[in-house]
Amino acid sequence: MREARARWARWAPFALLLPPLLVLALFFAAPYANMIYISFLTPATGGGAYGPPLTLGNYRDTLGDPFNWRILARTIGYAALTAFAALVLGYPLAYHLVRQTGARRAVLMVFVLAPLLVDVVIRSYGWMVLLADTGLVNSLLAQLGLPRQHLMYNGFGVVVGLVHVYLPFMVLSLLGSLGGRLPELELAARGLGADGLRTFLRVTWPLSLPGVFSGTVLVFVLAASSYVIPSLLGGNQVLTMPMLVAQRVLELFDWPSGASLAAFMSAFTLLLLWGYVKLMGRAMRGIG
Amino acid sequence: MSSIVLEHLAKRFGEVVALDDLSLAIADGELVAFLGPSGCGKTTTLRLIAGFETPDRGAIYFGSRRVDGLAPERRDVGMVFQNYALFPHLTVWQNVAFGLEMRRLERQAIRERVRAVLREVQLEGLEGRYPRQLSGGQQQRTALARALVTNPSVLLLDEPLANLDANLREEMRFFIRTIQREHGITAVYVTHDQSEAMVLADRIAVLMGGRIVQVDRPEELYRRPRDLRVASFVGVCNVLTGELAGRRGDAYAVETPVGRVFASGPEGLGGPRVHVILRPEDLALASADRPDEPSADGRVRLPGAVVARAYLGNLVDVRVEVAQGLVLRVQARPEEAPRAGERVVVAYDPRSAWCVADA
Amino acid sequence: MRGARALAFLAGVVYAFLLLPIVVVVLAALNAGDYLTFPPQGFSLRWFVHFAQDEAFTHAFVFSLELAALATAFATVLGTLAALYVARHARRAADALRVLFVAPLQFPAILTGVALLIFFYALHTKAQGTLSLVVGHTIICIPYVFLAVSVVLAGFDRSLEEAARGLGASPFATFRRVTLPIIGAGVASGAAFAFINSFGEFPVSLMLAGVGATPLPIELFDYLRFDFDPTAAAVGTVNIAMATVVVLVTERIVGLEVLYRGRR
Repeated sequence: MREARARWARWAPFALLLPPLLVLALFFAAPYANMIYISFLTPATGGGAYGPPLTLGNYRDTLGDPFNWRILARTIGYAALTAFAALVLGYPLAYHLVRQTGARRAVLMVFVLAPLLVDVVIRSYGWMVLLADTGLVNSLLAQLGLPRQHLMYNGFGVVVGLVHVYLPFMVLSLLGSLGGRLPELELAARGLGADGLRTFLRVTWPLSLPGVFSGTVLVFVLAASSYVIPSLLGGNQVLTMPMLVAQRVLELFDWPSGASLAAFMSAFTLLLLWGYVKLMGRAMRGIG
Repeated sequence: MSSIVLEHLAKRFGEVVALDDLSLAIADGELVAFLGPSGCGKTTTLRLIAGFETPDRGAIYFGSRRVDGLAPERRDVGMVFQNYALFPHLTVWQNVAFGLEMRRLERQAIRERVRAVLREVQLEGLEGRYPRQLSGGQQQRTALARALVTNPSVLLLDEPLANLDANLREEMRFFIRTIQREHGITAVYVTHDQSEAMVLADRIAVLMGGRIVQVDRPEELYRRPRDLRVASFVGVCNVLTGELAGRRGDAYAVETPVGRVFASGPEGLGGPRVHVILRPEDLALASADRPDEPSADGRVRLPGAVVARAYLGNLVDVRVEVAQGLVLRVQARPEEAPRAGERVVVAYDPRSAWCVADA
Repeated sequence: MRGARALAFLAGVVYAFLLLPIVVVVLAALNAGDYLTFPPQGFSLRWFVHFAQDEAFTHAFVFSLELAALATAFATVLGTLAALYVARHARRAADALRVLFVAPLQFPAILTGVALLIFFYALHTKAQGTLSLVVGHTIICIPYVFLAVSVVLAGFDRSLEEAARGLGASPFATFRRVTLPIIGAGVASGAAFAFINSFGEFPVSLMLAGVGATPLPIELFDYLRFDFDPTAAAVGTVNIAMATVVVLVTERIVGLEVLYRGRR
């Protein structure tokens, strides 16, 4: 009887693990593995059929097409610009937010995070209302007697939208490294005779680097894989990598090519990140 | 109510041996305290009795009923946890009623039982409070009421007073003792506080390294410890280490750095290395310039010098160096305590000293 | 002191930037004109009426609610089980499992969508449609529940369960009467979060939506590519109201921050 109970006690927990593990293995891990496999299969002409033999042809085509490189460069350019802008906007916000307490802090936190819960399409729509040629900003400009500006269906609109959507993630990353014992250390620096600017340059900024690092990486990755914002705020003028992948898959039914494009995009993003990690690692030596 | 018998219990966690062949019989209605340093296996033993852990070997009986293969809910134990483990989402009343509801008692019966127990632990009027709205002492009593309400066969208490402040702790010791007596319930009480064990327990089991070193009534344990570890765990002691040199009447003679001393000890004490244990309250001080103080009573006299003293209010803790590097702690009444540097004689009755063999 | 005030002003500007498009959507929905201008052209609920009368929108709205409800139900059960296992039984595997259960949040959703679409075709099932959407959304929602429940489990005192067992409760009764009520708040906020994220999920839906199975964000997206009259704003306002409720509830219970930590 004791043996039976001991055996039950040992195996019962797996009943908890099994369902979620199976579901994720079957509908998350397996599809990704399958996608990578398919990127090595030979595409058939027309209709989405594909099959053996295994080939590197898809990658050769993907890498050999200058158009893909151009789109990739643009996607990465927007993502980098977005990460930078989000840092510039997010840093003062996070610095301010960390130093608030109690209910005030909770309310401000909700302001930062609530936009994340609103459908991305609707947030983009908000920007469309603001930035369109007949939009709010332009009607304001007209009232002031200023000329109209093209604010969307171009790179500017896309970056504004991307910054807005991913700024909260930047703030969250920064909060961690701007809080803690940093305010105390700043006071210590002031006590030792450093002025505001030198305190920032010698204490605040170096110690916040881990947050800056994780925030920029996060926003960069998210922005590079965004689909909705460039489609809506870029109109048909701005094509990015995720749009290209979706197009191959949904409109051309060319899956081996779409899959290899997805792998290409992921691999290149990872490569860039790796370089960035090395670079930041050197800058952050001793902060951990 | 029933007796508890533990037979050859063994339990290991990975590489760590928590219990190593532990056996003990606890009589019906008895309260046994498990005393020992942290990691000695006392809490593991309690959790084996409760059924939260399964022993690797051995058996546990409540009366004639073997329980070690049973799930905790089928053992009929009442348990009080160190942190009380009160359900935060239930009121005092609901916490106490929980065990009765699990036993599917009738509503009316539940109401009566809960009311009676809450009266007993003096929590009337707080039935609707949630645990976080109670003081530490009230939480403690709620936990006790919850454990007792089902009239369990055995009551298990895991350091139940550890989280209370000193005054309340003393009060609750007597309270728990009274309630346990009134219910006549067999109880196991785990603690690392020797004075708590002394006050509460019928017998104390001293555990070290996963084994029971000694089980005895509190006085026995204090006056006749089995070895040096037990002696120092159950109270402050002075130790004179030396070689066994024979007997004189009831007493053993021991050759020590301060000369030949006498002490009582267990029958058949093994040598040659032995320790003489002297409790501070059994030592008396006399001024060194009156060496012919009555010595006819056969007391042992050790000359020395006072090296330090600490005033403790009701008494003074005096430290006397009786040989190079050998300092004895002596309790003296404040008005009689010598000053530092004074030469004194430490005297004791050999019957109050106790010899143990070297472990 | 001047520095502090400048900082507060700067932060205020960024808060305004964050909230601006959301406020604009609500204003556009309540504005009488065909598009929002400055100054607004008076108050009207006519765009909400438009929304209620537009069959494509109402159908998509109801479909999205159903889809979110189903995905949330599955994700809540699976995410809670996973969190229970990781918090209590996983020893050496804990870190690896934590990575796995948060992974759907960290992989680009558009790629997850593509991978699922190709995978479902390979299985020879009807690749696009309700069933695929439910599976895809469940996968996307699991991390939110997992994170929320993990947080409450981290603060859970195991001796409460032992106390219940000692008092005669079976393992199941213990779970129902003690564990669940205490972690319940975490489960509920994880579920609320999963629901709202499923309701607004785009990339996975884009890949897996089929005929007669179009979630609201896809419907809106298609609409906005050609037209952006304030009917969309009315739809958005309803969504914003839902999100506000979820935010207030979640912030109270587990704190919003926790649920986005998984993004790292």
